[in-house]
Amino acid sequence: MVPTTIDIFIVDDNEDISAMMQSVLQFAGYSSNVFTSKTHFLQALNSTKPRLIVMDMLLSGADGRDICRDLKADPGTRDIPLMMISAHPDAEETCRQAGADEFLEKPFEIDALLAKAALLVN
Amino acid sequence: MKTASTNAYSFATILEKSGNAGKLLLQQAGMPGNIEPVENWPVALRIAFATAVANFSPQVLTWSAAQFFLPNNAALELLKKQNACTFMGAAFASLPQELREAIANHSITPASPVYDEYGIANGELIHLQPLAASGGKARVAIPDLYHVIEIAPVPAALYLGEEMWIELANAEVLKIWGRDKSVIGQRLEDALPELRTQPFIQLLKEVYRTGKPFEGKDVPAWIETDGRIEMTYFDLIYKAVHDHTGAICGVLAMGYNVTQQVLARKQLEESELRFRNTVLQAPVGITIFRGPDFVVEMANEAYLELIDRPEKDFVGKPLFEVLPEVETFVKPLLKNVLRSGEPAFGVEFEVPIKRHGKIETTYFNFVYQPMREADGSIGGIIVIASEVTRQVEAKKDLEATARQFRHIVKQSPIAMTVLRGPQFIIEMANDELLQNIWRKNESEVLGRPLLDVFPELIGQPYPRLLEYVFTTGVTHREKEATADVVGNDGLRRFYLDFEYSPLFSPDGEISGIMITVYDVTENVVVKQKIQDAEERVRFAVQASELGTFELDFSTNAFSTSDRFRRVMGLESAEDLSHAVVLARVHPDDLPIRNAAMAKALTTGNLEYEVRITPTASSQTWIRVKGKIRFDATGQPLKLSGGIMDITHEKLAHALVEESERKLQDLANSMPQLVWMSEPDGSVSYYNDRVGEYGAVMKDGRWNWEPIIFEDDFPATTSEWERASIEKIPYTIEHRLRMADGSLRWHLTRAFPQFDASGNVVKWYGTATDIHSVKSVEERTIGILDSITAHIAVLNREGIIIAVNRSWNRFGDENGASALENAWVGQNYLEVLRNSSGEYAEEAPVVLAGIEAVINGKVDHFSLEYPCHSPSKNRWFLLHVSLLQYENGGVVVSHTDITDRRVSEEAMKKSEEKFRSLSNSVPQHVWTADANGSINFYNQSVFEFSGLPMEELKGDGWTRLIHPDDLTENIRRWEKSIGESEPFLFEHRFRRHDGEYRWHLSRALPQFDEQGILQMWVGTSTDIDDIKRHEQQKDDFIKMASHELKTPVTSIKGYIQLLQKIYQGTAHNTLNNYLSTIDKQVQKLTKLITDLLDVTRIETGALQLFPQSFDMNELAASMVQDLQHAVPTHRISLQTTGPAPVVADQDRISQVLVNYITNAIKYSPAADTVIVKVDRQGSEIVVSVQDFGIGIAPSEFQRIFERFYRAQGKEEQTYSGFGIGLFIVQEIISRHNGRTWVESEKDKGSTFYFSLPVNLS
Repeated sequence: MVPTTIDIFIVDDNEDISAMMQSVLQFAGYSSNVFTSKTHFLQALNSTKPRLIVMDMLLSGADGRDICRDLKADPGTRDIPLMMISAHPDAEETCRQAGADEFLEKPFEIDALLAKAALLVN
Repeated sequence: MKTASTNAYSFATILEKSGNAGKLLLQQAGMPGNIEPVENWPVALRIAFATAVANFSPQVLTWSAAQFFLPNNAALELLKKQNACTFMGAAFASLPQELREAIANHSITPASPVYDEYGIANGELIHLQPLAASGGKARVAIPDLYHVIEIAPVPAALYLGEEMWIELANAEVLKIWGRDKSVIGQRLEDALPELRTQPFIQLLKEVYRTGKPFEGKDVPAWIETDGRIEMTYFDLIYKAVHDHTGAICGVLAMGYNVTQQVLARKQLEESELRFRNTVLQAPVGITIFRGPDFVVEMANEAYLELIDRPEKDFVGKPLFEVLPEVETFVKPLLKNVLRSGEPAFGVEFEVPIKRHGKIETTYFNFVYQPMREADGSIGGIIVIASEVTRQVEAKKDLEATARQFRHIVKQSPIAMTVLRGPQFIIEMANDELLQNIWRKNESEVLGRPLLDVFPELIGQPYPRLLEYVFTTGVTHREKEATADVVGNDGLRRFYLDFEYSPLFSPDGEISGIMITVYDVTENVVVKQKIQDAEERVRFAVQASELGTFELDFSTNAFSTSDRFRRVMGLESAEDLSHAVVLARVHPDDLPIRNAAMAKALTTGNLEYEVRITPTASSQTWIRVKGKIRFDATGQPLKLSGGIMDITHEKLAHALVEESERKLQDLANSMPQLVWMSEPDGSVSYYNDRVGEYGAVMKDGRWNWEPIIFEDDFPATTSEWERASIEKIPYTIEHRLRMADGSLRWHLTRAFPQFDASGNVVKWYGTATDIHSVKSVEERTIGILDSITAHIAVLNREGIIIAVNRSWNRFGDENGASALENAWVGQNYLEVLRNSSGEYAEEAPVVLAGIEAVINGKVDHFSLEYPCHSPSKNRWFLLHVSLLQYENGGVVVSHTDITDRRVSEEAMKKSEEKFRSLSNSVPQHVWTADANGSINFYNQSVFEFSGLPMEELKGDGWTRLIHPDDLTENIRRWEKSIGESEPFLFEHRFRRHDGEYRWHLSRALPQFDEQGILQMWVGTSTDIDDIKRHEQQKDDFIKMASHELKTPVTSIKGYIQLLQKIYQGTAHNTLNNYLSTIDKQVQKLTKLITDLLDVTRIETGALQLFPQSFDMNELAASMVQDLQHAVPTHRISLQTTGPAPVVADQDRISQVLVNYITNAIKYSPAADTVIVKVDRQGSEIVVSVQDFGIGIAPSEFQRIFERFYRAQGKEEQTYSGFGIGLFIVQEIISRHNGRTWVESEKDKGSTFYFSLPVNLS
């Protein structure tokens, strides 16, 4: 049952949302891993290179924008498309400044999620 | 990652509330062979199970290699027959065959993997075919709702069933009820019997029955707490709760205790009312203007009086329509206040105002204070004004008087100078002084210290005297003092009569010295010469001796004494004949001798003076005196007599004659009338000036009487008698009649001349024309006449010698004769009599005061006294000061201070009222003096602080302020005091129990009529509860809207996922439900966004991203979108032309959506909504018109307020938070646009907004 490749890493400490996103992405045919902490996410990133990272802006104990900046500065990860999500509507500007390729405001239409994911994965 | 233990409670709680599945799991997990107890579960499993349990469709979760069986509620229901309950948590392998088959049969899709937190699939989620919708149980399936209710800081309760069984009551609601958890499970009316007589249970049942939510603001409720029933106010929301079939199963009740706010608002309303009342009665003019046309909102009595307009003609009208005459003066100021937001101040501001039918020039002191609305904009202007016309006019009069005074001094024939300050800077000096005494140009002396200009004075006594006068304020006079003055023509010695008088500044300090000088040098020189001459005469007389002789007529024998012979120069004495003696007489003088002898033969007395020549070269004057004796027949017998050498006397006489001639020449050249008189007053000499006077000579004798003015005659006579008896110099001012009959003022002086034994032998007198000086005085009286105070000048005896015009008018009003100077000559005591002839109560005090001034005991004396005539109550200020003039006297002034007293008394009364009022106010009320030192607190301060006045007065209040607020507090307060600006500050005060509570303090400066700061009136209102609640509310809304987004995001995601899954399938009911849920979630999303917008507006965090676009296009696209969603109404769009704007397109869309959805919502019976876009001048105006229920005009303003909701007919209500239009207004006003509404009840409404046209 272990998937051979993982399309998308979902980083969100809210388990409900991450589970929902996983379900939606799964419905659209993507495989995904959910991470609720920065540490595990970064560990997994060492061994697996997903086709897309979907990350909440505010994680418990970490700022998604800082992680984003680090990833975009690292030659090993800078090519992985990164989509930032947040319930804060005014966060788009700062997320994009941090290097995010896309931004999605919560609550979102799943069509929007899927459209943006499709755009970035391809 | 969160650890299991910290989360055990919440997960277990969720399970408890998660129906049968959760309860079974809690019981069976950890049993032998079963899955571990839930507290040991990894997070991933907990999430997976909680998600499954929350799902309405049947799902079975399996976990770990053992594939523990974890069905959700729906799956338990589905697999009821297979006894699935028993096997909750058991290993899959241990399930009965029948159950495993049932699971396989119902499975609809491939099982989805469930991952652990390491990303490894460690379980599966099996989706089962659901049962057809069943009746189900009246039960809410979302465990999160319970949790949210539990933790909400708002009182919330859930009632189930028609009987309102208490299913859930959170801690907040229990606190309000004063009950504990034991009420849960009871019927509401049993648990809280006090509610039976109140409408709430009825309302809840109504919501349950109709499904229509109930929302109420400030709903009063009687709640029993600690055995006391208290009135409490709530904002209430009752909403029906539906079960998963859509049927109503209960009511969710949320309430927000707003008691404090309601009470505080009521108090504020009352205090506002009090404020208005106070303002209306204030003794200064107060008015409020609103809007760009300065429409008068209110004006108090005092203001209406100032402008002489009745209230009905003023209030409610634009200012310049009512007072067009002030427009040019006042409008620029008012506009500037509106524009800048800065207050404007005016001091003695000149304004023409039409009063009593004519334009008067008036002067005002005023403050124009901008009045800020809650949003910071300036909505109007408060004007506080007091009229100072009378003061300004008086000041102008005074200035004119001062100018005139300088002029007078300058022109005065008496030398004068004014020295200022301790350096004795020469401020002014008149021509008389400059030309005749100082002999310097004005430019050489003005502005320089006296001793710099005249260093020769150092060493003379004058600097010391000036010092003395300057420090003591005592006038110094001296006569015939010698002064050596170096002028431009060298040093000269002067004899001067002078006077140093102190000059006082208005505050009573000595500011300088006025010097008047009268040059008496010539008089003194003459006098000294006369003295010299007399000395010499006396000496001659003493040196003379008598020689004697005898002649016998019958024998012609002539015998003489030795002294006779020595005088005659006849040494051989034996044969001295009469002829020989006669031969010695100067031939020219013999006729004198012969005539004298001839006369003596008749009269018997011989006397003559002749020259003799004792030697050929010398000449001697002799006086001969003798007596002839006769016989019985009349024949002369003998002549005996004596001779005296009077040569010295004759020389002296010649000298005297010479000097008298000189004196006469001098006297004739003097501008005065000069005379000399005998001790008895008979005039023996006078100079040529006599010709200028009237009939002074009568029958060849000098006669004073005809030339002295009759009125002055008695004083002249009595003064003369006094001087002649006391042998002192005589001085009087009196009017003398001139040759042309005119009367001119003269200063007449006479100095006695004494002989060696101290007897008066002569008087030397002068009469100086001082008419010009006197007329100066008369002009001064003229100045006095222009002063409104009543002024009387008294002599030392208390007789009124002059009064000004005001005095006469005053006398007139008080019944005295209106004749000019009717008072003059009366004793001042008469003034102190009232109309019935009795002395006023104050009379003794006044007399004592006048006496003290005359005797130099005090500088001045003042007294305020009432002078109440039957028709009028009046007050006067009496002021007595010493007349700065020879022979003293005093100046008495009476100033009418009725106005001041009346306003003072009104103030006093209003202050008493204020005190009693303030003690009944729940706020802290305090007052401070002009320096900011606190001098009054109302009772509430003492109760709050637990401290007495002694500890709080002055700066004592600082000990109540929270240390963190103190520095800023003091800075602001001092700034307010320094600038006389209102004080407004939020700070914490320590209560008697040590708790600090937030207060809003405001203080307004109070000015008197002159615009001088009198005091501060302040209030401090306890806003601790309001502040805390506001903060809690804002925090909660912020937190809630953010937090709500999270569950909404996942709900929305799942719904849309489900919609995708079932799209196009035959599951019509499911699809219908899903689209209903989706719609509701959209609504919920909008509510959350709105709430967040409100907090962002309130905290100023609403960001705009403007771009340029055409309003027509935006409106068209919005109409099109909404038309799709709304089949009930036809939305038509009318445009007129290009409508370019620069705005945040998303926000303007939000406004349009809000207007259009409102139009649809409030016109359920209509089918049309009209949207118009129109350019009007520099604005693009967008309107949305409906044909619905309409709005009453009284609500036009309120509907744009926050949390305001329209009220329908009867119980008809409209859902929503009531913040849509508030947000609209904020968005539009941030774009510099306007929002408004036109409406007619039951006809429909048109909502407008405007934006500035993009001109570029």
